Amino acid sequence: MTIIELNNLTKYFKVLKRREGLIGTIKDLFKPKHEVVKAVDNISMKIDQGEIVGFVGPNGAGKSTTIKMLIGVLKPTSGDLAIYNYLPYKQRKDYVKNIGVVIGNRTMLWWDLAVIESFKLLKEIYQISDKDYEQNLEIYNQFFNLSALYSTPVRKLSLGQKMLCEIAAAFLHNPKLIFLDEPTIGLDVAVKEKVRKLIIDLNKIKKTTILLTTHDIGDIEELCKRIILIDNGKLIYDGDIKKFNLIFGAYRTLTLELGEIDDIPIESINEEISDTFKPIEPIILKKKEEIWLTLTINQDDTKLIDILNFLMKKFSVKDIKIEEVELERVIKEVYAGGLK
Amino acid sequence: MFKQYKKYLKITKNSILTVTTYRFHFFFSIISSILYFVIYFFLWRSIYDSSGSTIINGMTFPQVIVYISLAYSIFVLFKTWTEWGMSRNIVSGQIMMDLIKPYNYHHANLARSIGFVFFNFFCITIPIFILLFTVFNSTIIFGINLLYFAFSLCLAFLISFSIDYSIGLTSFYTESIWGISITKEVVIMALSGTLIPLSFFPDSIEFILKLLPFAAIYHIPISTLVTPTLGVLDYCIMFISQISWVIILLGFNKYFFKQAIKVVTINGG
Repeated sequence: MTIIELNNLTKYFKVLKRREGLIGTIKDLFKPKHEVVKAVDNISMKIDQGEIVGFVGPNGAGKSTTIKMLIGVLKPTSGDLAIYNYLPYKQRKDYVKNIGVVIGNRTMLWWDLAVIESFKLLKEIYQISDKDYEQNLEIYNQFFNLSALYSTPVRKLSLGQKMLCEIAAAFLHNPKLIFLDEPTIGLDVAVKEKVRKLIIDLNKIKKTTILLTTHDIGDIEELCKRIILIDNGKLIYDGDIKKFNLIFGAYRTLTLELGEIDDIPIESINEEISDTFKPIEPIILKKKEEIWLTLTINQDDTKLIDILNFLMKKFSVKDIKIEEVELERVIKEVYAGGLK
Repeated sequence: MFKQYKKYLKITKNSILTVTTYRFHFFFSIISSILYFVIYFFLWRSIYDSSGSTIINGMTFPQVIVYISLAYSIFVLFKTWTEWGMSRNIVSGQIMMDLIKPYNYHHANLARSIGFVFFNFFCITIPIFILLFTVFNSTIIFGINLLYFAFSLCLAFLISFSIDYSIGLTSFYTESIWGISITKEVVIMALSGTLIPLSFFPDSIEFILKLLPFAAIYHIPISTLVTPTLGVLDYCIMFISQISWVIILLGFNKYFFKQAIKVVTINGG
C-alpha cells in the first residue's frame, strides 16, 4: 500500500544575498538583493507501508527541506504531495498525529526537565492510552534499559543518551510513519550501533514505516532496503539497496603507511600494483616525512587479503587504514552512470 | 471536551517545573522586584514632599503608592517572556518541534505563559503585597471588589498575552524582535499607567489612553480594586471594554498566525 506519494515536488527559497563589508551591510538594510535557490527540484517518489527507506545525499542536497515539506511545516512551491491522503501543510494538526519525527540537532524533550516529564507530556498531547504507554515503556526498558535515564534532566544527558530518548519519544504514540533526520549525527561508533539497533528493533516490533535521512553510508547499509539518492535538489537514484551495494558496498579505500622504499622506483611500484590488482582509481603515493600509499579496490575483483599480502611482502608496512567509500564519490559515480 | 485540554494543563505544569529548576532565578526575581519597588516608593515620596501639597492630580501619596505598586506587580506578573521564547525558537529553528505536534500553537504558548504567571504570582506578587501592607502600611478596602479584580485580572492577562504573542509572530518575518520587544515594553510602561498613574496625564490624552488595550491591562483591574465609588454601570463598561479587546486581539492573532505560518522558513539542518 502506497502511503507517501510525491509528484514533481519543488521548493524554491528566496534568500537575501548579502553584500560584503560594512558598506555592503548598510546597503542590505535599505535595498536588499534577493536570489532564488532551488532547494528541491522536481522530486517524485512513492513509499509503501512498512519500508525503511534511506533518503541520502551530501550536505545541502535538499534532504531536510524535503523532510520539512513531508512533515507539513513547509509549503511546497509547486507539485503534489499526499501522505495517508492528507495534504501535510494544509491539514497539519490532524496529519501530525500519525507521524513521529526525530531531528538530529533538535530536541522535542524539555531541556530543563527529567526525561519522564517529556514522555508524560507526549502521552497527553497524543492522547496515548495508559495501556499503550506502559507497554512502550516496558519495551524500551526491556531492550535498551532506558528507565535508568528517566529521572535525569535532558540537559545532563550525553548526546547518545539524548538520541536514544528522542527516538523512544518519537515512537511513543505508535505512529505509522517516522521521519528520522540524521539520527546518528555526531555519535561515536558504539552509540551509532545502539541507535541503529533501536531503529531496527522498533521497526520490527511496530511495523512502522521509516524514512531515514543521512549522509552516513554505514546507516544505510545496516538499516535500509531501499535508497533514494538526491543531489542539488534533484533525485538521481531510487531503488534497491542491493544493486547499490553490489557496486559501492564492495569498494574499499586502503591507505598504507610504508617504511623505507628508497631503493625501488615509485613508477615501477605503481605499474606492478596496477597490473596485478586493477585498482579502480589511480594510485596515490605521497612522500613527505612518511610515505603514504592510497588505492581503491573493488572487493569483488580483488581480495583484500591478497593485496595486503602482496604489499606486506614488498614493503615494511607501518600502518593500515581501510575505509568505506565516501558518499560524495558514490554520487560522482551515479552521475557517470555507475548504476545504469 | 475536557480531555482535549489536558495536554495544555500538562504544558503549564512542565512550564512551572522549568522555572523552578533554577533556584537563583527565583531568589533574584524577588530581590530585584523588591528593589524596584523601594526605589519607586522614595521617588514618589520626594515628588510629594517637593510639591508641598498632599494631593496631586486628585491622588494622595498613599493612593499613588498603592496604584503604582499594584501596576508594577501586575507588570511583573504578566512578564512571561512569550515573545522572546517564540523569537528564539524561530531563529534556532526549534519552532519545527512545535509545529509537528498535534496541538494548537497559540494554546500551547498560552499554556506555557500561564505556567510563568503562576511562578510570578507566588514569587513576586505575594512578596510585594506583603511588603506593601507591612512595611509601607498601605490600605486597600477588600470586599466584593476582590472578586471583580480577580476576574478583571484574568481578562487583562489574556490581553497582555495576546500583545506579546502577536509581537512574537512578527519574528516569523523579521527573525529577531529585540528592538520591537523593547519598544513594546517602553510603550506599555508609559501608556498603561505602570510608570505614572493615568490621572496624571492631561484629560484629553487620558481619554485616548483609556481607549487603548494597554489601559485594559493595568488601569482597569487596578481601578476595580482601589476605587470604592464604582457603580454597576462602571463595572459593566470596564469589563465590556476588556472583553472586546480580548476578542479583537484573539481574532487578529488567529488571522496573523495563518499569514505568518506561510512565510516561515525553518532554520538549520
